[in-house]
Amino acid sequence: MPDHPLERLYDDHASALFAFAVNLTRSESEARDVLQEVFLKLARRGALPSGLREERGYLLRMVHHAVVDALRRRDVRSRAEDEVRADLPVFAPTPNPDEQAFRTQLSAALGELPPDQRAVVHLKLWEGLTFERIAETLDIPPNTAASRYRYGLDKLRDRLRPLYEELQ
Amino acid sequence: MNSSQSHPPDGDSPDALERRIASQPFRPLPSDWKHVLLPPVTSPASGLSALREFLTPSRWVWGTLAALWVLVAGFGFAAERTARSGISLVHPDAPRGSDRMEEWRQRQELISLLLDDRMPGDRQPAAPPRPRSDLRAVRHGRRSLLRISRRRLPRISHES
Repeated sequence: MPDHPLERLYDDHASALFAFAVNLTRSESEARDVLQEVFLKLARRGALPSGLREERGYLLRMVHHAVVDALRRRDVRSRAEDEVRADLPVFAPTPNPDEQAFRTQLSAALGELPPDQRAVVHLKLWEGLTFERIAETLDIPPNTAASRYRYGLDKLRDRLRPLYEELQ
Repeated sequence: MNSSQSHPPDGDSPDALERRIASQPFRPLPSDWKHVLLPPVTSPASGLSALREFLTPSRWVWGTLAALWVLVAGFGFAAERTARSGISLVHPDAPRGSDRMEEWRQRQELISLLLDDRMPGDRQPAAPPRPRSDLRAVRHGRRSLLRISRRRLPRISHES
């Protein structure tokens, strides 16, 4: 049992927050910086706000804000690194070659999506949030969340369909 | 207007490709990040460990201070014992303080007498200081005299 509430939050949510951060930043070091910033803010506040409906959604929102700041700083630094980062594998490696090929192509296809669409697709597919919850997390209208998801998913389908049918 | 306020449906039921995409696991969180990401947390039950953390960085300083304290305490204890037993730390044949003062005063008087004897004969009376304007006038006067004398001196012609 974790002794401190912060430790409990880490054990429960850090993996999901890391996946969201690494998918948006495409950089493990930046994802670490983002998570560090989030947990530092939580430590300074002492506790999560009272009356919180869902911890995960609140923490994902904090991560998104930190990622937006990090991407803004990166835009100032250099844009050339983004092209390299698009190929960063964000999925776990697997010994199955077919599965590995699918994951590699999916990772690349996600990297080609605009960050706004990628955030919505991630929250919908890997966090299972509704468009309403996604809208609250990302500070956008629900309809915008839905349209971004459809655009993003169509791009992923176009990119992955040939390999997917070949693997079937 | 109502359509903009109503929430969009959460999409059609996911197809096989969508489900397969969603089933892909992200890379795992590095296990050693927990100590890096979580800021140090102090719990009230860890008073002893907090004291240890306070002492550990300056172990040598605390050790030196403890040794000094032991030394001072030992010296104080020894001094107290000698005072009780009546043993004097001063040599019995050593001159007393008042005798030393008397000897020092006599030497001072002798030195002052020797100095006073030399002063009247050896020293020349010092000339009173002159104002700077006088010094400038003297220098200027010498230069002007030199110029005048150079002009008035007749030139020696080599032809004659």
